[in-house]
Amino acid sequence: MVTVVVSDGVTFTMEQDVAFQCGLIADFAGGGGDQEEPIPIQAVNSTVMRKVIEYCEHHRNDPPQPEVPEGTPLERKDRRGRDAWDKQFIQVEQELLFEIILAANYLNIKPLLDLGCSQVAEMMKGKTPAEIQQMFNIVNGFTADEEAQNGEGEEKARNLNS
Amino acid sequence: MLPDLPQELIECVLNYLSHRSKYMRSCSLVCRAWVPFCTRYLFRHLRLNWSKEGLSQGTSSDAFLRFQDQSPALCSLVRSLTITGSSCYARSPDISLGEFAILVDNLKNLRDLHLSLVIVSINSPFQPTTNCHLERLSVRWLRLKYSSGTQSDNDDEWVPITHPLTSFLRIFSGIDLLTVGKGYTKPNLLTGRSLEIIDQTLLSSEKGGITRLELDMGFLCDNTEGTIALLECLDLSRLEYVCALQAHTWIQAKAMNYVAEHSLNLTHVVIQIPSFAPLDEETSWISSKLHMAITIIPRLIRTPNS
Repeated sequence: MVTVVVSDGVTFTMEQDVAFQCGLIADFAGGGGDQEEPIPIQAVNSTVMRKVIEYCEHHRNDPPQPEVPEGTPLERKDRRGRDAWDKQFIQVEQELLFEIILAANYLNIKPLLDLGCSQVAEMMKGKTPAEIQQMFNIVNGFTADEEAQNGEGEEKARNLNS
Repeated sequence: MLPDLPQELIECVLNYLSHRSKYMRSCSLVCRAWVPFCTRYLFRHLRLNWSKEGLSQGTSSDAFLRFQDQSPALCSLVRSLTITGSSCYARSPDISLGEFAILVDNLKNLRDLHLSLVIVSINSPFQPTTNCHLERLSVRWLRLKYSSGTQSDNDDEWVPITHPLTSFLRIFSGIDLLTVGKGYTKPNLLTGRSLEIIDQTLLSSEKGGITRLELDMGFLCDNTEGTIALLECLDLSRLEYVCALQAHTWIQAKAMNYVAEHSLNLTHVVIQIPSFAPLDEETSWISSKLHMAITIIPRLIRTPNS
């Protein structure tokens, strides 16, 4: 069993195969064996950790992802198929979604990071630049001149990619 | 409060949108920090329509050349270029070697070149006096579809003429992967003779003959003998990778088996199966016959008989 303590002081105990899906915990716990001291995970709070553990528990028996041979010309960058459970799991408020991504990155859980990022990308599809700025809470920082050039540049890109 | 995602994670998200230029256009206008990533993908693959008007003013090629003049930095981002003829039903317009040289001269990092429904003709010979240097081209993947041949009198029959194809292929000294296909409507390029020419031409180049080959069968070759007759024209012993696109599964299976028997270097085979079919007998048969990496990809287009 592995025990972790998160930023708001809550401790979680999980089985090793669940915990070791987090690269960070696997590295921390080293050669295995039961940890006596809880592993401190300061960058993640208990709400997010609960989601992360839910994900790791569901995927504990997954076979390792097959590697696509390098240089396969037909390789598509499209995201791999998400199962219905994953889709349902990642349907969360945007704030929690971003926190899950940050946690997956920090804890080094590649499939969860991919799932979160592809969900954000899904939400961006069909949105205008202004809507995306709002979504990410971004002030664009383009000058008025640049804004005008953007219009021209966009036109140029559109023509070349038609 | 919404947490900020660091730039590396933003790029991880944008990666999922990079396959559509429509999305990259919107994202490139969101903020300055997103611009470099988006432009890299926006200009990575360009598509050019070649019409019989050639390079004259107002054409897509003319706009393409003006873009190259005005934005040399963006030109260096171009990795892949598709030149497409106007229509697969009408007579495809010729593109001369000289015109071709002008179009690609500034694309220093061009790796994939796809000529579709366009004929590269050497009727108007390339003028070495121009400032274009075709030998600088660094194309690694050449895709030819219904192109580089010459039309015969009979409109339904396309005859690849040795001379233009050979001259054209001599330009490319280091092709890693060659994809040849019949195109959509007319059987022309994928004949044994043209494969032989391609093989010999590339063999005589510095890097040696074809080692990675994709044949786009276009469902036109519906018998195993025909397919194997094509493969007999190539020196199969060098092939490291082979793929037969758009062919019936059983033809692919037999063809791949033939290649496996004749090649010592084959390490990778790609088989396409219909997306609606489960792994059928033929596919398991291939797996049992070939002891190598087999990638199975879904075929999105239905076979004519299905």
